Amino acid sequence: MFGDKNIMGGVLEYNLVVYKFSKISLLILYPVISLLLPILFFGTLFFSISNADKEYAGVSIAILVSTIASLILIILASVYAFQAYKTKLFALQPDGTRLARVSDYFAAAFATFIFGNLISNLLKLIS
Amino acid sequence: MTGIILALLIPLILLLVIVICGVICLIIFARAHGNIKNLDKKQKRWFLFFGLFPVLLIVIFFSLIVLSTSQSKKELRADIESGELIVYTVSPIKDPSKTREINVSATSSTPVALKFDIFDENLYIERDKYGTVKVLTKEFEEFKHITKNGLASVFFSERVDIKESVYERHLKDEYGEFKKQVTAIGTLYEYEDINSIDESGSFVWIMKFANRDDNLLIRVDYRSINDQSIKRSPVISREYAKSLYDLMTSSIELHFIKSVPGVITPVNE
Repeated sequence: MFGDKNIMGGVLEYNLVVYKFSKISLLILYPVISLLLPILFFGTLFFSISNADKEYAGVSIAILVSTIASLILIILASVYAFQAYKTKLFALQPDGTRLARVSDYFAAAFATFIFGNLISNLLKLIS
Repeated sequence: MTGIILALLIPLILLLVIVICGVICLIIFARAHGNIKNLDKKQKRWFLFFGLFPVLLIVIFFSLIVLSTSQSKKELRADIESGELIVYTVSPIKDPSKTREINVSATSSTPVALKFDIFDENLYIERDKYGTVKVLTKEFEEFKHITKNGLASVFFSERVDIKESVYERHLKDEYGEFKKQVTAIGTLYEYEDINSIDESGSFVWIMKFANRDDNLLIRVDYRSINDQSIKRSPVISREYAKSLYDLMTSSIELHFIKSVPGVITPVNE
């Protein structure tokens, strides 16, 4: 995965698995969830309204799914950020390059969006 | 319908283009190991293009929105200037000299005048195709423009007088509970009209004038916060509706005067 560069150094194989898992999960889950959740949410809301569903059970489930998905994403982003920091993934090498690959840049961008979203929501809560 | 589809589709396409441009930019940036200096001339050109293209699109999009809004404002101004829409602005401080008195001849029967001194509210009058005259207030403080969907409104309904006992039975069957108050000029019925589906509804007050065949109907509509079916309409709480009603009714005075039937005349204009 890391070519001829051993970015993990003396770190255990366990960390490599965690890093890989968090990165791949982020790359798959973030676009899927950010696209699917609004559709799921508005779809169920529309369905509830059109069926005169007083309980709004569909909406409650959508909110629950969205909350769980957001929590999972925050955990994944935190793990990925920790691993990236620990392995100095984005540190500039003497040859002017970085160890991070294209997928790492995407994962980092997604993690930034997730944290940004979290901070903005917290600020909204406070205000 | 086409308008709704366009209104949904255009932002969606815009978002898609922005996302694609962002992805391409990020790929170019990542391939240069996070340093723009590593990019050659061709790559730099593409990087700038995909970076600036969404910005350009956003600028064009918002310019179009601003233009369309100003067009709507122009149309509203034209409506007001042509007299199709009459807007009354009332002082935020109760000032009798600024009180608007409106003579409304709602039906072919006895005309009625309404006197408004509602604080910090804009009023306008419109007549629907059934001949009902509505005196509408501005929707919200946050809504700086005036739309035709008024939050609180006063209707003059043309009705043939029915026996009070029959009317009361009808109210009881339809709404369950109502309050009755006998005044010098007539009987006031108060009831709450609740839509069972989405908790939207209205407070309705009907003044049945003594010895007259028309009624004054005061109606304050409210909508549930969960009511997503009416996105363009104001979403307000019941408390807000009630407080607005209190504000409105506390300052309405009824006068019986003579005016030309079918003509709406703002007296103090």
